[in-house]
Amino acid sequence: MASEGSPRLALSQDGDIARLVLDSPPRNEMDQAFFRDFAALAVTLKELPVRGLVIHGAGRHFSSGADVDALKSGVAGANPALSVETLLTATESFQMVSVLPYPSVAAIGGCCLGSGLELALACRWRVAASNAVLALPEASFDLMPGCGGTVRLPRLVGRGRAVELLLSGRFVAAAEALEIGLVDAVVDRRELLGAARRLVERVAA
Amino acid sequence: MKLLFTPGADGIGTLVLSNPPYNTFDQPCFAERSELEQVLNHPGQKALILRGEGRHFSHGADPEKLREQLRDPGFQHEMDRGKELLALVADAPIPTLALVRGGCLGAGLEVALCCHFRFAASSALFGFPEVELGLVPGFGGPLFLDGVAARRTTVDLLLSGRMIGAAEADALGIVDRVFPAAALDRSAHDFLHGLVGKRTVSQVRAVMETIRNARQLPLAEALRRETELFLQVARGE
Repeated sequence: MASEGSPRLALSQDGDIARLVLDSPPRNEMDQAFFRDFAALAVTLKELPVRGLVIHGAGRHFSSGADVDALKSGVAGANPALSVETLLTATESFQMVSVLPYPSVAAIGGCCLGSGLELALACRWRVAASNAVLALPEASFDLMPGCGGTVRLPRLVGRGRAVELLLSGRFVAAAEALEIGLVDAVVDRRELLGAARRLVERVAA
Repeated sequence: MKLLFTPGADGIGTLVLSNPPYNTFDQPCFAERSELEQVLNHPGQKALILRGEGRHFSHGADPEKLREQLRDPGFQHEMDRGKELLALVADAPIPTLALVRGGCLGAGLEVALCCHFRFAASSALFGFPEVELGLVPGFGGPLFLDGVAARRTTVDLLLSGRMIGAAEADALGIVDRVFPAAALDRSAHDFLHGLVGKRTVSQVRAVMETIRNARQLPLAEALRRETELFLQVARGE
């Protein structure tokens, strides 16, 4: 697990494509420091001299999202591990990703849960590895998604499926995610980053 | 047409469209608005099953009555009021599931398409027969069908007026699941229980509101409202 001071994100540029790595393996959990770093970075993204952006997780997983206990204590205002202000900022910074002036692709391997999926939903495209598992499981923890997921999911998969996924909180494997339109492509996990890059280059052209 | 509502002890209620044998709509405004609002907002309820009385879901409007009604200059207003009832169902504050046996035709299909989910018996029949009578669907059918099926399916069914079985309706995305008739009630109930059984009423209503907002509000407003609802739910308010 990343220590408090270490950066949770790594932004680099590969030719004219930017790459943003969620960098606190193994789960790339979104904690207070992640959201703070992400908010600071999000405002600079639109100025990048690039034609596209790929977002992916370090290691096997995209992101397991926020820690449920931290979330609950934050909302209760009791010695918040994750403050309400941070969550409000997270919604705004995910929104900044969704309106970037160049295409963005989430390259999703392994777990992509909660606010992790909400970030992926803010991207224009989603490419998943065949081992990917996606969910907005908040309802199972007596919560609901709070970073745009409830707004973006129905627009992508339709009203009925959104009701089902948001209330059940169930996990969706890559093949089903493709079938219902939650992701745009599924590839072998060794091909994930290459496929995401090719997609962003193609749509940026 | 009568609406018979039975709240469920587990929060899953049932609303029966009752005008047997075919549960036809005698008029477009098939219920009092306040009556339907009360059903959808019944305290403690977390999901609703819509079904027809007896063997059929509904065969839609009664063509004989419709022809008479069309002469009435006030009929357009009646249709608008009927559509408002359908909008109430479409924007229901709890998940709705149409449980379809037998015929589900015309306005009956339009009601089923307003629901979030459609579970059908393998013997169920679906269609928009209006064109055969020199009419077109007038209850939002094209719009609702477009929301669940491909455009070509909408064009096909609305123009041909042909009837399709449950298996084809399933393949075209019009129904979510098909079961042998004997297993239908239980399957629908189990499915809804899986969605809302462990959720609180306020949690269900918050999620349903955000889904409605996603369709009705500008993005920025929908996002802002999501945050408010998130905090309400998380704080147990």
